Amino acid sequence: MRLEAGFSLGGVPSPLDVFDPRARLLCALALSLLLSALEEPALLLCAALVPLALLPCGPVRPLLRVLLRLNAVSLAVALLLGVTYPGGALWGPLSREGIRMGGLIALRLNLISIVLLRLAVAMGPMRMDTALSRLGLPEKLRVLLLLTLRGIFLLMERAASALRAVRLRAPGLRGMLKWRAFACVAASSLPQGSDRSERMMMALRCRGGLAGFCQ
Amino acid sequence: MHISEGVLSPAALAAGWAVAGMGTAVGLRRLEPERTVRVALLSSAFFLASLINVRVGPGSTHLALIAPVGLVLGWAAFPAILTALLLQAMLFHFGGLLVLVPNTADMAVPAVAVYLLFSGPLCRARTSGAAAALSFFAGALAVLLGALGVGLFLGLSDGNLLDAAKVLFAAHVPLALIEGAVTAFMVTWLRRAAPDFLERSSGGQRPPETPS
Repeated sequence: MRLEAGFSLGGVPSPLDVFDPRARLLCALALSLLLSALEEPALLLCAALVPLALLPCGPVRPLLRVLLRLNAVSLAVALLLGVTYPGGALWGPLSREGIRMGGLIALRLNLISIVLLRLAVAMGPMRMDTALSRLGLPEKLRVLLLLTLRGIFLLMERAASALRAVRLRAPGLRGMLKWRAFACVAASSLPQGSDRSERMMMALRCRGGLAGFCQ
Repeated sequence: MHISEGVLSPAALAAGWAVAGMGTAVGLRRLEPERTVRVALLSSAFFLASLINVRVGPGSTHLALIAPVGLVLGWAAFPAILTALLLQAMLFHFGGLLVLVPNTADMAVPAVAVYLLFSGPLCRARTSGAAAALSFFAGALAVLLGALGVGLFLGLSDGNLLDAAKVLFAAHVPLALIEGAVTAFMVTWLRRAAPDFLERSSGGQRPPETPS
């Protein structure tokens, strides 16, 4: 259970940092929406100029690793559509229209992912939170986002330790026993998380709240 | 059960935004500030539990834990799942930002449905066997409703995708059985180790008292 290599709460430095994070986020969503609406491959290839221009605006190898993983998924989707989408036969059970639709989805997936990864995800959770709050995100949701992010780091070590204990105590667990063990680890983290949250709540109140929240 | 980028049409995206937007608004209105910390930590616990990959035969899968999220958080499942999916996209590049809200609708609607249908009967269940059976059905139903939601979004995008949606639904049946079993184990453990936890956690609305 590890975070992406090179992960940073403050995001990845990029030449696009000169732009307002709100503008980056809105442009990312607008471009992605436009790309999702395009049905013709020719139009998509023209629209691909923007994502291709964004490619060098950050580390390329991590982006390519993510795209490789996504393309493994899109290959499975293309095969599924090839078999289920109605259309003229291309080869065996694969239909021409199905493979065309699968290719279209794969192209859109790659272009939208490049746009979102470079413009939005590269900002990191903290700057994304700032951008969202300045765009009018409700205060409760913003605080929930910050506290959930904090909680992930708090509970990650505890969860890894519990799983290690399960594997050490019963290395050959199989079948229903394995699922039962994982279920008990997951269930035990809930009351513990709840108790910890009450202590965090008291600590927040003692410190004067979280930027005015919970005072 | 995540829908990836590039699949949904703008109409399907708009429908997802509408459903999840309304659900999140209701969830946030019912969420008292004092409970926000608790919901956040429980959301992180579910986030981490859903990242556990477990081998199933030649492949592996990860748990969705939709039913436990619904049973414990109630309507707060909407904002909790939204933040968890946003952080999954930011930290692990899993899922996507454009389809974030439709994916939220796809997981949170079954979570709230399970809460509305099963939280009362679970609190009233007299025996562990009855509670285990109810939670098994809750867990399995949540996954199947999620798969149905994926099919609805795909059908809304393109009617020709319905056959693919049927295949995806069938592929979720084994996962539904596993989730049902895991939910049953979790609820049984909670009834034994923290018996008042499910009652306290039911979205601020206490279910009827268990008859003594």
